[in-house]
Amino acid sequence: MSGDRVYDLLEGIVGEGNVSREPHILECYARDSTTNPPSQPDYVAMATRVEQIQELVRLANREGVPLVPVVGMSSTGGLTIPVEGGIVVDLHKMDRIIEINEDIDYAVIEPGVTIGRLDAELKKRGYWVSLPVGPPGSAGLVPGYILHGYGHLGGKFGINSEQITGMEVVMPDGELVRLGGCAVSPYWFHRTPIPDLMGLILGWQGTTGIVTKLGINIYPRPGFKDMVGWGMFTPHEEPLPESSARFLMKVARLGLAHDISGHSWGAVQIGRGLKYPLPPKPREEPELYFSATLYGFSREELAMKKKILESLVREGIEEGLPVACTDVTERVKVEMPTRYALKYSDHRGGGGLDYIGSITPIINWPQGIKRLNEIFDRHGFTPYIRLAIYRGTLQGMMRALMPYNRGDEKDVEAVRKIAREVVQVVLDCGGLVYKAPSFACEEMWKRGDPNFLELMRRVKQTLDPKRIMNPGRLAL
Amino acid sequence: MGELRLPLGDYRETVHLCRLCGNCRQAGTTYLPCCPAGERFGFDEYYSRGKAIIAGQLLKGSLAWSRSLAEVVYRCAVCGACVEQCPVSYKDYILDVFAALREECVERSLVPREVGDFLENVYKYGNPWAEPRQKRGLWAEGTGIGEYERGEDFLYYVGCMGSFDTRGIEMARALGEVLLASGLSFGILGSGETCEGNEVKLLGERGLFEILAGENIRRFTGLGVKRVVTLSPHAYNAMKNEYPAYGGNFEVKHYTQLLVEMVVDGRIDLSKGVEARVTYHDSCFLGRYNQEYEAPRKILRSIPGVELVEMERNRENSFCCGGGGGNFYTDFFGSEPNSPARIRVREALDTGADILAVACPVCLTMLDDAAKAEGTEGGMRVMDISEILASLVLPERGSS
Repeated sequence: MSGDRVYDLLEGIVGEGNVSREPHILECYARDSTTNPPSQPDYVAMATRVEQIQELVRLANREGVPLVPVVGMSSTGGLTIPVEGGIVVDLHKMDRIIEINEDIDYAVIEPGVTIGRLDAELKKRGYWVSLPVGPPGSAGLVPGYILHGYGHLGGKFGINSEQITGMEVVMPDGELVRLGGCAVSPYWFHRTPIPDLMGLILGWQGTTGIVTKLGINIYPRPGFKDMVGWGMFTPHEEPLPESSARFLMKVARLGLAHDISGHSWGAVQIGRGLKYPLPPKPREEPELYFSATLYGFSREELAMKKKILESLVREGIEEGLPVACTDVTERVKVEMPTRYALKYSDHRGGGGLDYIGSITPIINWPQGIKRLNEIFDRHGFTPYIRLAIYRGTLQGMMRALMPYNRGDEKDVEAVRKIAREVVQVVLDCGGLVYKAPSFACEEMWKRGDPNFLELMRRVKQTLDPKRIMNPGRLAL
Repeated sequence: MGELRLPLGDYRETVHLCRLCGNCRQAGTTYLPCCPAGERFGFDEYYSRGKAIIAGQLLKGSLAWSRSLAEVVYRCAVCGACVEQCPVSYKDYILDVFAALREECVERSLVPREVGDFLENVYKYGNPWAEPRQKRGLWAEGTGIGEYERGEDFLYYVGCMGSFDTRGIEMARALGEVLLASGLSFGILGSGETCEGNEVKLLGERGLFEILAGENIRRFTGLGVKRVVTLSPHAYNAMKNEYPAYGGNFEVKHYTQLLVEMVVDGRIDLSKGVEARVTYHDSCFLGRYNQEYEAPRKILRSIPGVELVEMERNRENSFCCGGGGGNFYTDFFGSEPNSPARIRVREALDTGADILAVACPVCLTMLDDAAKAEGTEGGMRVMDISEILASLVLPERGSS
């Protein structure tokens, strides 16, 4: 016996060697690459079975100790930092791919299954899924889906949470619940037409339960790929005129591409490995680079898609838009999953990467990007803006990334300020912050319907009356 | 008392380069786990990401050194898998930070007992098992292998595993006999040999490493050695990459690099062949540390009847046997089902191989023991490439 009752109880649940309260181990679960302040848990417990998670939740309830689930330790946004201490539940050993159903096209996975591992398994069978774009292949796939993350096939299939077909969850009282069709059917194929209770879990940042199994759609992997690139040759002060935004909306309406992405000039240069400070942008280079990634099951299908898209770009040029075809940059050519995005953190001296991501109407991107440029410029940071259009809609991801020097307190402070200012821009554009850090949630709720906020509080209070699940998240 | 040297201090300006992304956990392409310590113990601290955090906090003074921390520092095979996977500039510093953490453990007298024993034994006896130095050459008795004489083409450096470990001795003899049969001009140091120090350095005892390197270099130079062939990739690594800084300028080859030349030019005749499905396990110190992936495979492919099949994790994404960094002696990974060697043996079994081939005495012993623990008797055999070749080249060994 250790003399620490909670520790002994934890060890009784997960077994010897799978729980720690050593400061040097706790320290590793206290932080991520963002500027969110670190905070140590009191214990770390590695769970390998669903029953253990249920027991951990019951223990946390009895003892009034917070629980924070983590998987691959690659989170950005401070989402797994245990701001009120408690028990970090490390789920990365729960890494079974439980089912890949090739008759109904879905997969069921445990939370420790990584992006890369599922992709490698599906690739063998001629399938794929929409893979989270920013994180490394070693990151868990489940968090990116249940937190409404964006995937590399978002232009075709929408945000990742739309592709969830079923879920098994340990609720805050320790009960195990299935949500979606799998609650009734032996198959994990669809979340409706029964009441869709996944809304109690999705986007709640681990404050309403711990997902122990996730069903997701899988799709046949096309054999042919091509890309079309174009640039917006616009002034830095007016990077995306409304006419250009409307051109993007035209491209989106075509519904041809699996991904439509945009990157600011600086983002492309950082991706090319240029170090801080960047040289001035040459006049002949675009302010914004765009690319459409096209896939086809035949060469003919692919050629037709490319032809249509290229003709649209030509029309834009003829209409006098500041558009021209460009080579597709290395940044967008990479295959998923990729480590490419991680290299950005080296730009200003290393280690740090923070970001604010949003879902924002395209029509409001012009004012948004303009203001983001101003913010970056004012703080002496390279504007790093990432855009992506979601399936069949006229909205998408508008994201500001801040690579910074984790060893430089001035950088850390500057990025904290930038992040807060970016949140205001997003909200002014009618956008919504995704995977929002607590301060961003607070800002959203300030502008939100008070009844919505009240309903969220009541749901949280009903499900988690002892407030043990990832407290401090969502600013409730 | 003199001032405590703080090796970590050299990394004050670089340790923050770790992006904390966790990419050090999985091998590229397959995305199977790549870190032996992480697989065995699981907590984030065992991965490179965690160690970067620890190093950073130690430097800031917000974390204190302890025996418990030192235990974690040494539960690492220093296999370099994390370096291979790191996508940012921190990759250039990972192994140096590991080394600094260990050096600091030595400076602070915090090394685990097993590590202390290893280092003390090497210091006193020239090997980690405290075997008398006079016994060092006994493995060669009856083989006809003689002591190195000035003018011979190669010094055959056997190392501690080849001199004292049961399977290592079998491997050392097999290679020696193959080399004899090929007509190569070579000799050994016998009782005059001492540890090359690769693991000593990795365990953080830089001073002792320098003593060993100096001793070996003086001896080799005194004998007029121009070319060294090593049994172990660990010795190969130290002599090729570390010794030049101390004046050791001789050509160094791992034995697979020498044998592949001899197979190609016909000095070794493999025409007898063997019908076997073989999978090859990359040694970290031959592969990731020295980018030699082809020589062992080329030898195996040259054997008529051999079907070479790859494990899912191979070459730069190979999964370490867990023996590196002195763990073949300290045994911090143990023999549990999730010990790296047992995981690796199961991966080899998945290929349907008859033989799990290695090119390193550490891997040989680690995987052979693990195969027994996995109950593979009568099925897949763990053999060093030298043993496979000996069974083809030496008539008395037959195809056993």
